[in-house]
Amino acid sequence: MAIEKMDLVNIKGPLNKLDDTILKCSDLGCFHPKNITPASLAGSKFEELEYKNPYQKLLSRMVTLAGDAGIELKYGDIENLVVDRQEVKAFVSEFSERFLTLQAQRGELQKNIEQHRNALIHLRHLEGMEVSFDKIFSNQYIKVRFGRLPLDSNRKLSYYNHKMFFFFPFDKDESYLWGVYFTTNEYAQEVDDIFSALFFERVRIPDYVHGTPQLAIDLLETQYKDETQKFDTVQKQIETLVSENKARFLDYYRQVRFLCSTFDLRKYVGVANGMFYMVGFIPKGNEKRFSETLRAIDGLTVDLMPEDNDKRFQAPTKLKNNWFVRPFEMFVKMYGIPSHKDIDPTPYVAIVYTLLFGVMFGDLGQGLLLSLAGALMWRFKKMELGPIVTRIGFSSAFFGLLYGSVFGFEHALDPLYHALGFSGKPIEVMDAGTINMLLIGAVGIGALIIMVSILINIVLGFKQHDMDRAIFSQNGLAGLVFYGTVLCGVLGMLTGTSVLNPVVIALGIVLPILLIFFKEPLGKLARGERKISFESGVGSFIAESFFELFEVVLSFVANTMSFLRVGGFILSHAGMMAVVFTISSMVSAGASPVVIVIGNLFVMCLEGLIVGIQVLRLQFYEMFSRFFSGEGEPFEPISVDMAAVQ
Amino acid sequence: MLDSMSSKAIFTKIKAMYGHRLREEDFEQLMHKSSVPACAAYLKSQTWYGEVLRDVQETQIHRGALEELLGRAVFEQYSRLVHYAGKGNRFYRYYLIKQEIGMIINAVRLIGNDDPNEFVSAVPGYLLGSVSFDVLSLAACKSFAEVLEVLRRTPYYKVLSELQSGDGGPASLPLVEHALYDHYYKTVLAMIDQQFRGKTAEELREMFCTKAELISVTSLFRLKRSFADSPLQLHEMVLRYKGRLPGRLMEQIVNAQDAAEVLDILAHSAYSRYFDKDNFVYIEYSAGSIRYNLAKKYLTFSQNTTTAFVAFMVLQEIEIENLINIIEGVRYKQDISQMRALLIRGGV
Repeated sequence: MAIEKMDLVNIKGPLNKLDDTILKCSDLGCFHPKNITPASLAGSKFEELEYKNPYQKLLSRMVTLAGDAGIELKYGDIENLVVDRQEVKAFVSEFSERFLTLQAQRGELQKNIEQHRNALIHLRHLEGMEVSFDKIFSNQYIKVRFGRLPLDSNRKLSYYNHKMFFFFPFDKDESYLWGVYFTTNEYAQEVDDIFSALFFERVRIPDYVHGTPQLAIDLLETQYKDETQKFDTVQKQIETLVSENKARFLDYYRQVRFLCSTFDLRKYVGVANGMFYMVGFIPKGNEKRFSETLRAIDGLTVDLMPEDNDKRFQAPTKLKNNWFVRPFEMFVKMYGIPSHKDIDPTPYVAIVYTLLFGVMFGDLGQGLLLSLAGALMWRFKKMELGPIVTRIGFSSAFFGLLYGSVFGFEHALDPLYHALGFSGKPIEVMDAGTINMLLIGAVGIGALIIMVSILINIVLGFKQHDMDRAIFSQNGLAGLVFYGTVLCGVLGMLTGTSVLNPVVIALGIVLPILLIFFKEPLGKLARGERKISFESGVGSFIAESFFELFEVVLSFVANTMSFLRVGGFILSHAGMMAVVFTISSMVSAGASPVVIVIGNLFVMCLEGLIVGIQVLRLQFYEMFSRFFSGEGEPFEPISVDMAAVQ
Repeated sequence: MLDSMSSKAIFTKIKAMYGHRLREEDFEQLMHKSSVPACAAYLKSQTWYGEVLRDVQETQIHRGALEELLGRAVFEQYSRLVHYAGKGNRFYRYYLIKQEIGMIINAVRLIGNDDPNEFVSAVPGYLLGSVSFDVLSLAACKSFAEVLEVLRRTPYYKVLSELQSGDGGPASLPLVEHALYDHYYKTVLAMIDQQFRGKTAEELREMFCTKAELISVTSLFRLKRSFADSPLQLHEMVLRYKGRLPGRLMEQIVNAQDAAEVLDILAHSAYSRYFDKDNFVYIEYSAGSIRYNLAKKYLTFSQNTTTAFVAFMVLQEIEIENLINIIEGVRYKQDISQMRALLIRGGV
């Protein structure tokens, strides 16, 4: 269970060597920088490096332009990094100007088209009206506003009932009420303000619309078609402009992005008295290579110290595991990164996950096929899950060998067993006697896993001098003794041996329960606090602790029983394959192999997925929740931000 | 107890809804937009907000209307989850109480304002059917006494009537805010005590008490920066709910000389990683980051539905805050790096 040890590094050098240093650190790929603050360099006249990234503004402009122009920003090989910033600026300005002009034209046309479309909606509602618009709009004393009101605002309209206006809705969609309001000249400003506050979107009936609504509709439709044609033309001009400039734009973008990312690494640098300072961590074993490379730069000093030398800087976590365990780091990282005070739970996860998956999904043929699928996932798609699938596939195959199951053929391996001197398969899953054994065995595995997890928590608690955690908590010594005693009692009842006597009950059950109950005050005493106060009163403390204790006891039972699913899935796998074979025997001889193949694939995918998720759930909830907090910081060595470049 | 079959279904639903949240790249895209309509177009076509924005015309949408629609989207999520929870889950009403309090505070703030449209415009229309008093009547209130009259049949009346001065004149806004928030946290914590036990109660208490504590810290910081109120007056501004700061530290904050000293105290408290004096952005940002991280932790790891619900609503509120900040930033052509610095993402 390894977390790589680190060295704290202080780098100091003349300011003119900063770029060289950053580049070397980036090339070495093992330096994790920490943000440097004035407090980090107490005593020095510290100032932050105030270099403004000269590429930031240009890059930002290019990203905005690309977004507007629909250019997908991709990283590719940089053919020539000697970029002239002025040249790029001029190109971007010209491209931007031409694009924005066309975009403005398009926006204006789009707005007109929308206006016309909205006006048409209004006019269609007024088709039956034989009044001329000229009459409506030429009225000297009345103001008329067509538009739409959000439905949410319509509810607020009631507040203004006493105001001088009439609102006539004539259509409603899921979000808006379409209508018109009338008011007098005198109140026009006030009423317009009201509707503006209610987010009324005004639809302007164009000035050139005259006559009755029907005449207006005809006119607007013609206008609408004209605008749409113009819009298409401008759209084509934009597309041509973009396609003509795209290649050059992308080439410049890659270069600017690259230079900008390199420059951004300066945020880790502090400056005092004309010297720059950097603080960070490197993994143990890199000291020689790192210091030799950097010390080759004139005037640079590199100080290496133990990782806990300066409490202000928390060392990052780099997990170090062997080839078998390494892929399972993915599951650990999904939950959180262990800090340097914790242990790396990856090996524990790898063993438990592989074993449980194999037990729950035991089939020689399907297991080997799963391993092959995992290998292909990694080989062609570089999927992180691939190597895990390969490992658990082998585990599945191993347990399949014990259960005597190959693609659901339950007796295909009988000759092998006979040759080895067995009378039949070692474990007959569907045998009535075996079922009980499997379920009890599953609970037994669960109890063992829970106890190991508690043990890890106790060790960590002592290591961190946290007595609450190590002794008094449900996942501490008290919990372990209580759980162990109850398990022994249950085991005694099953085997007919009496283990529980008054002394064992008092020491193994009552005492741990009392310790858990008084965890809070006992923890304070252990921390050396003299005064124990109950913030919400003694009554509240007792009530809360009682219910918590109740929950603790219940959760021990529930968590142990949770492992019943391990046994359940062994049976479910055998059951599902039995269904496949029953169906295959019901169809014709020709279709039978097809049913068996499809059935196998179906069971493999469905059950493989469910078992994978269930085991992960057991890991996260029954194991990790007992000892793993995942509050570490991942080790991220300094490098040019290629992800951002991409 | 909420842990029924339906609550498990809500748990799954919450996780599914959270899966639709805006990602880092969405915020980046939005910050790079050149106008509010462009933001609206992106939200409409690329994010889960598209559902409430479907009928919106990007070129015409008003910023206020857009923000109200975003708020509606979150309220619809809330309503859906509460609908699944059934009638038994009275606790979920905490969200509406908070909205009501927000509207009352706004009404008191705007007393004497000649333009009632400002208040009406700010009232989320989608809440009108869910609140316990006639919100719109608050718009016409010209005095604190009139506000009280509107609230007469609600629990807020008793809370606020104690603040009324002899002539029925307006009470000071910070005192009103304090009294209402105090009422809110008392009510919510009482509901927690009544309905939950064990880990659930502990998790919920932590989330609400931390928020209360952050409100106190934020108010004190702002008051120290802008006014020279005496510690005696400031004592009244503190919400006494135990979060992560011990009582003596809160006392130190109350007695601090100025905002810089408050920051210094916080930089050495349980919140130290959020109050680095050298990287301090603004107090609401730090408070938001604390809430974000706490809610994210509980949404990821808690196995309890109610905790997940509260955590999810906190994260949704923060998402809306982030969006509104970006929309404002785009509208006023703010520098992208400035917008990025204000984005609450749990970083410190």
